[in-house]
Amino acid sequence: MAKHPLVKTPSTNTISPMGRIPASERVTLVEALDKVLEKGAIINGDIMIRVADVDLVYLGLRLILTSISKAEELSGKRFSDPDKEFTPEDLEYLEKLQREIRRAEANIPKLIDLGSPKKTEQGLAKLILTLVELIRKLMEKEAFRRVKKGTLSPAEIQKLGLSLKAVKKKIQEVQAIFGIEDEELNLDLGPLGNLM
Amino acid sequence: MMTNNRVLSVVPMKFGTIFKEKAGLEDILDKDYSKLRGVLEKIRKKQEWSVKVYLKDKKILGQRIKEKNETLKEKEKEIASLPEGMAYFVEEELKEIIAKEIEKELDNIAEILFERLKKQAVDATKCKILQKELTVRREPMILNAAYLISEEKIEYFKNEASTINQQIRRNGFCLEYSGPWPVYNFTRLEVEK
Repeated sequence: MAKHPLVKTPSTNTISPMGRIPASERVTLVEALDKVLEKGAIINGDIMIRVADVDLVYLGLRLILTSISKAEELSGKRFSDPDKEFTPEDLEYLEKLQREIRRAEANIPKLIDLGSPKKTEQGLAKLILTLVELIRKLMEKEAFRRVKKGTLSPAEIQKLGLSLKAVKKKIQEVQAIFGIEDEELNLDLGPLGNLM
Repeated sequence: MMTNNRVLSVVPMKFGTIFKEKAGLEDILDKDYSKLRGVLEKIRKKQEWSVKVYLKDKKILGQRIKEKNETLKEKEKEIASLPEGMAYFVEEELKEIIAKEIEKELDNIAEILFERLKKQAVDATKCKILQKELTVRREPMILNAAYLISEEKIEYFKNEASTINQQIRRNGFCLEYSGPWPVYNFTRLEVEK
């Protein structure tokens, strides 16, 4: 429907969604990145480095970026042995992780009770934590796939789970130090939607 | 609108409509006279009221969802029986399922509340959900709606809104109504060439 040339009306509401956007239609960048990893991607690039208009170095990139679960599926190769037993090193590592988790768990309420978050450095901390959380989430999603596929040994699952949990607790601890809420660990990427 | 002690009616247009030239305005008034009349008829003796619903406590909702859902209960039992590292994956899975269920339930509740108040109104429309930066509130908004209500029904409408607020309060929600507002949400006049 054409607008009258002599009238300027603000954009009609049909453009912006009304009410709540259904959960199924909200896609975040972390989900998009996860999809790329899950399916795998081939990156092809030609780079020429030249100085004073003279070509000096040619870089041909043929890169395959994929999750290990996809690589296992494509190559038929196993990257880990589901029957592998716990080694003494495994047990020691697991214990260390558990100690870390308990320590962070005990520390978080203390930091919150203290009630004096370092608000001044909050902005930078928020950005860094958001990026750490993005990577952690991507790894966690792949870890989920590996666990579901059943190609990991119980020792590996234990180690993975505890490691992911330990990193998560650590992030929560730093959040408490800087007074950052959970939902603040995100970036609004404008037309791309939210990061996570 | 008051000018020189004469009370005039305001022609309803979408908020922010600007005419560049007087000729354009006259043109519209000529061409769309019947449409304008229609809109004016529609809003005669009616008021626009705004209703906003906020989610104050997500935990109550999460708890209710967990209690209703048998699969979720099973998963909780599973978590208790597993070593910590393995349990982590089930815990995270559980959290994700609950978060999705909460979103679904919120869509549901927003729809039910919107429809329930619509019964008291001549017309109703959903408006954009405002983000926290705009509402300056901690709790997220789950419904932002505008209602066109006949003057004699305003009291009914307000009573109904208060009743709903009482009912949803214990489930962690809060409803706020305000008005009367200029009827911008119900005077959308499509101006054609």
